[in-house]
Amino acid sequence: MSNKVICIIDDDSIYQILINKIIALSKTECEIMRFKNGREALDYFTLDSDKNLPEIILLDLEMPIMDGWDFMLEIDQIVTQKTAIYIVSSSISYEDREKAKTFTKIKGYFSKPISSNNILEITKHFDK
Amino acid sequence: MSLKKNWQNFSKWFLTRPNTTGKLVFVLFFTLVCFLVQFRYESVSENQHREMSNILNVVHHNFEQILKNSYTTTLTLAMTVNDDGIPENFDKIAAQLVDYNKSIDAVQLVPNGIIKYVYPFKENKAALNYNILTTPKLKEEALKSIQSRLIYFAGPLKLKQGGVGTIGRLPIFKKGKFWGFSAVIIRLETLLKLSGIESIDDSKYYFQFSKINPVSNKEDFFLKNKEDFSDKCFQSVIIPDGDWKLYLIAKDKNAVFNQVITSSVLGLLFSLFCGLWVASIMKKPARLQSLVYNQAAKIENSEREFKAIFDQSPIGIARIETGTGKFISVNPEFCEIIGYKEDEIIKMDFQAITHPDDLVHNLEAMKKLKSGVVIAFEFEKRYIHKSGKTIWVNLTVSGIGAKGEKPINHIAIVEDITDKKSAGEDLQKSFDLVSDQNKRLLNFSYIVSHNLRSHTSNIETISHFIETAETEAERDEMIDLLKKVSHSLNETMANLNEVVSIRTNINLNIEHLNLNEYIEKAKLTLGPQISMSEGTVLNLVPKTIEVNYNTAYLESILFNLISNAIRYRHIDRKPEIVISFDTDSKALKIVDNSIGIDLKKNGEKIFGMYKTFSNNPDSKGIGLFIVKNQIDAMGGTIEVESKLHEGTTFTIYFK
Repeated sequence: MSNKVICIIDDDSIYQILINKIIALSKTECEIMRFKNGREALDYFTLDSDKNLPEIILLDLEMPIMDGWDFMLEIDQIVTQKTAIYIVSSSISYEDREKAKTFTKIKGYFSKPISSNNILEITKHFDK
Repeated sequence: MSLKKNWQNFSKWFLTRPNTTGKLVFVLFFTLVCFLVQFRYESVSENQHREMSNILNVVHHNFEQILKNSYTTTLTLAMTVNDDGIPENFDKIAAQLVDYNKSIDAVQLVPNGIIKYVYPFKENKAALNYNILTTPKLKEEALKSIQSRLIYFAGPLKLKQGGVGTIGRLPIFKKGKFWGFSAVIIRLETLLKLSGIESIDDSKYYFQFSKINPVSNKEDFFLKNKEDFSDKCFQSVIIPDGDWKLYLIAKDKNAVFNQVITSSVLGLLFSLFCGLWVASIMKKPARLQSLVYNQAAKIENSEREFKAIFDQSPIGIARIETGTGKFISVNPEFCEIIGYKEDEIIKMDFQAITHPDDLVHNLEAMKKLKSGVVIAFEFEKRYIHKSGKTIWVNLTVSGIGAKGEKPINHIAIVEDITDKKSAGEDLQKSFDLVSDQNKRLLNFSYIVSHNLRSHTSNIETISHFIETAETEAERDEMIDLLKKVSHSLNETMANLNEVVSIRTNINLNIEHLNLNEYIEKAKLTLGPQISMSEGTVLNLVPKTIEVNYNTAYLESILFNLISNAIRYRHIDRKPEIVISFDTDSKALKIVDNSIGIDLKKNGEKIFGMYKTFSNNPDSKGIGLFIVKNQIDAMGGTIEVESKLHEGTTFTIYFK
């Protein structure tokens, strides 16, 4: 079995560094992909949706160019069952949580800061 | 005029009293009928009288004729007696006389009261030698004629020779000495026949024939119908030669009355019928008339009520000529609302007091009303009060007349809603303010949630890593990251502070600023960027244009928009920016040929905080947010048009 791919879509460069460390700490065997906004990620996925789609996407909501919601609307057209999407946002607003529930592809919602335990939780669920 | 009025009252009196009028008609007709009946009664009774006297005269004349014949006969018979008292040729002459005179049944000569000669002998021989002067029943009358020396008719009496008859006796004197009688016998039936008594029409009248009995002195009647007729209508004539009395009696004592009773009854019925007929035909008009009076009274009443409503109404009512818009009548409240006196208003039209901005709408609605398309309309409009202030009213107009008809006049009902309106406006203003603030507060909380929390969550994670760091290098790396976070947090705080200060700064210094000059200033400030990108900024704003603005805001707005145009330039072309001003709409237009923004996707977000649409490292998503806030604070608006890859146009409207 090839390594799982975790895709991180977030415009916060510091968070990008930190999440790398967190995933490393959780000792999950995986590959990490990083994108600064939804547009970049989408462009990459659509190049070859079979091959390029990751197993896990950790998606931020507030991003330039294309934010998390717009990304969700577009990824809905191409994503398959193999990809699980998790929202990881600094937003703690109730509205955002509720809105996330309207997308069946979104498997979970985490408010920052995210911990290595959260990562384990996500990957463990995925293993099954 | 008063004559007409009197006539009206007169006819009204009758029209409303059909029963009385009917009775009056009855009385009138009945009086007329009575008059006519009386006239007829008189004429009928006069006719009867004349008829009776005619008949009686005829009969009387016949009697006279018979008596005269009798006289002539007796006289001729007397001539047969010669001077010696001996009749000569009696039979021969008597036969001639009797044959000749149909009225005479027999003749006789009665010397010294004893019947000695009779003709016709056979029928009368029974009377021979009958002494009339000694017979008590006959003596009286015989003596009477001797005494008077004239012919006298005795009887009718029972004749010696049988039957009833009257005997006319002429006394004969010879040498001054009574000789005897020359007599004629007229039988009663002959007398009746020849006098015409029997031949009269007996349907109406009958005769009676009487004589005062010389013995008993009582009146004897000789004809049938001997009943008492004193209560009947009769006429009589006296025949002195026999002391007779001839009566003509009307059979029916009520004959005259009967003749008029029918017409009286008919007249009465006719009068009754007329009275009832008049009453009945007048009852309908009377009912109608009373209905008319009732309706008129109702109308008068409702008119009075309407007048009261009109005058005391708490809303303004005006009657207006639809064609011209001229006021015909207005109520006191209407005068109160627009501040003019009634006599001033009725010289004006509604156009004169309507707010110019509402006039077009108002006239359009009136056009529809005039043409009959609508019968009523309602809207809010403004009047100009006499004092010049604006009055808001709720206007309801309805044409007088049926739907589809073109009204000549219409009613305008006007309610002063100025207070309500201004209260509403105030309410709307404060509502707008509150919801605007609420929106901004939400936005702000969102900013705090997203932007501040992203920093704090990073700090949390970093501090956790610092704590758990195993090596010095690791810790240093984290501390470096911490510095970066603190720097960007600082930046965010500064941005937020700026935004808050725009909103809280109420007492901003506002000056007359020359727009052209400030654009030039911005061009100067952005000089390096413009020249680096080889761009051009064309300032077409006339040098005379001045706006009331805060200096710092104007600088910020122009700086941001021009620098954005350069920052987001299209890689294939040099940036070209054209800045112009439209005096009519007081709008500043900044047109560029930049990469453009997909407004379909991002239209709502373009002026939001931390919304960026490109990968440009300089874009922070704060510039347009601040520009928008500054323009809002100055009471203006900003609009954006853009086409991806072609360019963007920002339009700023000044207050």
